[in-house]
Amino acid sequence: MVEFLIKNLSFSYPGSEKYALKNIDLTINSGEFIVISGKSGSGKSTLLRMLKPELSPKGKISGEIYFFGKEKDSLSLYESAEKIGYILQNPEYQTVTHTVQTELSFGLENLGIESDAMRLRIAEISAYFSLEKIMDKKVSELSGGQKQLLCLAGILAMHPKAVIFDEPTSQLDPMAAETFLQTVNKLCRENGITVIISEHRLENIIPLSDRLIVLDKGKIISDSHPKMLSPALFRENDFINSSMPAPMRILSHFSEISPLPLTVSEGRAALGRLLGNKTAATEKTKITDRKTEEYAVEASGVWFSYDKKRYVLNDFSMKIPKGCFYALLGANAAGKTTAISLMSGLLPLKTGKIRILGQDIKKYKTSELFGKTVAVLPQKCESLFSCNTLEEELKNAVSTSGLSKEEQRRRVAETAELTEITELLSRHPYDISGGEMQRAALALILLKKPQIIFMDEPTKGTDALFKKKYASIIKNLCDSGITVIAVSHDTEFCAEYSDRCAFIFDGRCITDTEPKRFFSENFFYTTVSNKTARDFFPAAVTEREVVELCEKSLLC
Amino acid sequence: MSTGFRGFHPLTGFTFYILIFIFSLTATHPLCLAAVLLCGLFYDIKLHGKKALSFLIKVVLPFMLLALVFNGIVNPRGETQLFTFPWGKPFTLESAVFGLIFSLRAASTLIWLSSFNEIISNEKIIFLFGRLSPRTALVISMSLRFIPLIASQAEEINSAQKGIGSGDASQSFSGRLKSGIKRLSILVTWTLERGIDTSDSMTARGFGLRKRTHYSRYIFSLRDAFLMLFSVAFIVLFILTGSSLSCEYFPSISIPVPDAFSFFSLIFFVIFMIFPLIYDTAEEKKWSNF
Repeated sequence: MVEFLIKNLSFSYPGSEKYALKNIDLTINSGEFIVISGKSGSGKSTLLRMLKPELSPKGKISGEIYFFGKEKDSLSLYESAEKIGYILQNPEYQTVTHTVQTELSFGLENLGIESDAMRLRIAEISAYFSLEKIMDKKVSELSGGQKQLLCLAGILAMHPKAVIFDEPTSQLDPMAAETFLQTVNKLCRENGITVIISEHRLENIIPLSDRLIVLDKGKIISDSHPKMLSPALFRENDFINSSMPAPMRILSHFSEISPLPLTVSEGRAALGRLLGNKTAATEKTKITDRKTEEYAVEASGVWFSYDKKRYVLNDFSMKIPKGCFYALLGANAAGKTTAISLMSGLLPLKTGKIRILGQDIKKYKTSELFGKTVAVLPQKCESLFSCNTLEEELKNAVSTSGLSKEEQRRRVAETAELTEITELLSRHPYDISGGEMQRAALALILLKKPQIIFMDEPTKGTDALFKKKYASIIKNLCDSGITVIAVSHDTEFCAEYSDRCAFIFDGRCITDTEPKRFFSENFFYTTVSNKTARDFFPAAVTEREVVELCEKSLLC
Repeated sequence: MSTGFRGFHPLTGFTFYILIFIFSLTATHPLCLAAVLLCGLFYDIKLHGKKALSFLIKVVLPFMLLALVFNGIVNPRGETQLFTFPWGKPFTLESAVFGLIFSLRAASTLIWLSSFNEIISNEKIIFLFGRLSPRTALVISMSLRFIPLIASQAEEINSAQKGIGSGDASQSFSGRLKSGIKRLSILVTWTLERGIDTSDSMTARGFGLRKRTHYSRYIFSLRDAFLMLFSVAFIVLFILTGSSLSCEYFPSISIPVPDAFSFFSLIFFVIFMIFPLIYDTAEEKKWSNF
């Protein structure tokens, strides 16, 4: 059954000549699992909102949209609220009431469902999501992942036919994201609910999907099963080339492989077919121990606890060389964020020793330490911006530096150039994408000329293209002698771009080596490229390395 | 659902407490007040343990003392003058005794409020409001969601600003004021921005389409009906028979000895007041054998 039918839809926002969507033709059938992707600004959100009449943006629109066989105007708002669910990015902002139970019943109450019917629906959905135990909990006490599941449960209680997700996992950590997507998948497969989802992180979701729709500048450039994605697109479109799951990307280089593999196991099988028994000898990784090293941060014997019951850090030690991009990896609650909060001085050091650029952290004055010596890029960059335009923001930040007006202007221009936000300077900080906001925040920090920059999950909620750009900015910073220390869950990012990786477990730093060695020695905690190609090239960690080795093997 | 007195329907619990409060605020006989105070204290100890005692010593007793002294000083009514203050106002026996009664009244109200807070949670109050006006209930619930969110955002902003070296404590007053204003403006912008998402999410779930219904997990069961019935019976009985328990303090003290009827109804009322204590204890015993 056709659920959504879009015929030749074009749309532009008021006051803009540019089409946000152009000549879209789309049929979505009941029970399909559809992923909509495209780089930021490609019209993903606009298209999703077109499928939910209450949230459709106002502007110049042409073409037709049919919902469940009805024309847009004959679909009542009640039907739309009931039949089409919509999940937004941030679970924090879309939870409306204060307890789990009130949040679950919110939608049903809006629909005017009678008490007894409501009781049944809530009972049913609580059982499905096992919410009984947290029914009385306050929403503010839940984790991000739990909140997002609660939002979903609240919508499902309304018995929708289709649920639309606008980057639902971008604010979640990888484990929570995985759980959320598995739930979504189960809903689609077991209950036949249509799922339309847009995501930045495509690795986990593509293997689940029936159809992958790629948008570019408001047009659909591909609409097929992900396996059938044309290899030509990998060469032509840099978004596809950098965002698809690693097995797809690796094997898209070899036109003899079709259909494309989506998962690690499929990828491994495809590599086997491709290579036969021709595997080029992998060079041993050379470990270059830089001996005469200066350290930006040295921590030794640091202990920390928030609640006098459990140590978050115990006997934590770490040495971070100057001028390198240092990544801290590890599971949730392993102590990563606490470690950087202590090393940056945001949390008071109680036991242990931390030296910043050779000097005891306790000997720094607050005004010397923050801004000029260390700077911390927070996870939520919204907490940095207060002005109406980015330019104003940057000018403000530099105005207290005591430089001449001319000097200040040059510094702002330079920094904007370095972080590639020059063309965004006239925009409001909230009107730019998450990735752009990250770069703007970085610019703000750089104006104070810090020696060491700490980052908490810099790649959260951003797409692969952004990561590439961001990594090159970080590389430039490191080359100029700045040390960058990042907490990250993003193995691919760290493998490709970091200089050293540390693995934090149980409040300690377990290993600390170069990424190549780090990931090739790990079995589970490693990159998808490495998992895919391990049988053939155990030391290859990134997509680039795997592809190079494959090409070399095929030649011999 | 919680066991014990907590598990009763909000309406039942609420009625119970309202009756107790009416009683403790209008009772004049020392015997009645002593009874309310003691019953309240016992239940509070049952609920809060040691904390109840520290509440008694740190809050209730000082409050009683204050009420006593204050009443003695400002209330010159009464026939039996004991002495005259240096500023010329008389101190009377009647006002001293009334002060004692007044402080007992205040103390028992405070103690019952402490257990009220424990038993009648925010959820129950929202539920009761929801019956009257679903809209008010929603507004309360949304504010309760909003407040911790704002608090955590403010904390994040503070830490983020500290981390980029803006506005530290060693700055001049004007510098700190400036950075304070900046933080506030960030918080406001962020909140407004967040509001857009919240309202989208509400619209998407059909907010404002129809008259809202109200869901609750609470079910009015047989035991609630019984307790309600007894509450009403007790109060009626007390009004009918308790006439000899009313005392007067001005202009002269008259504390009648309760007659048999009144005494009987007082005992009934004590049973009513210790009902939660008995019920909780019984339930604990009943459900601890597994």
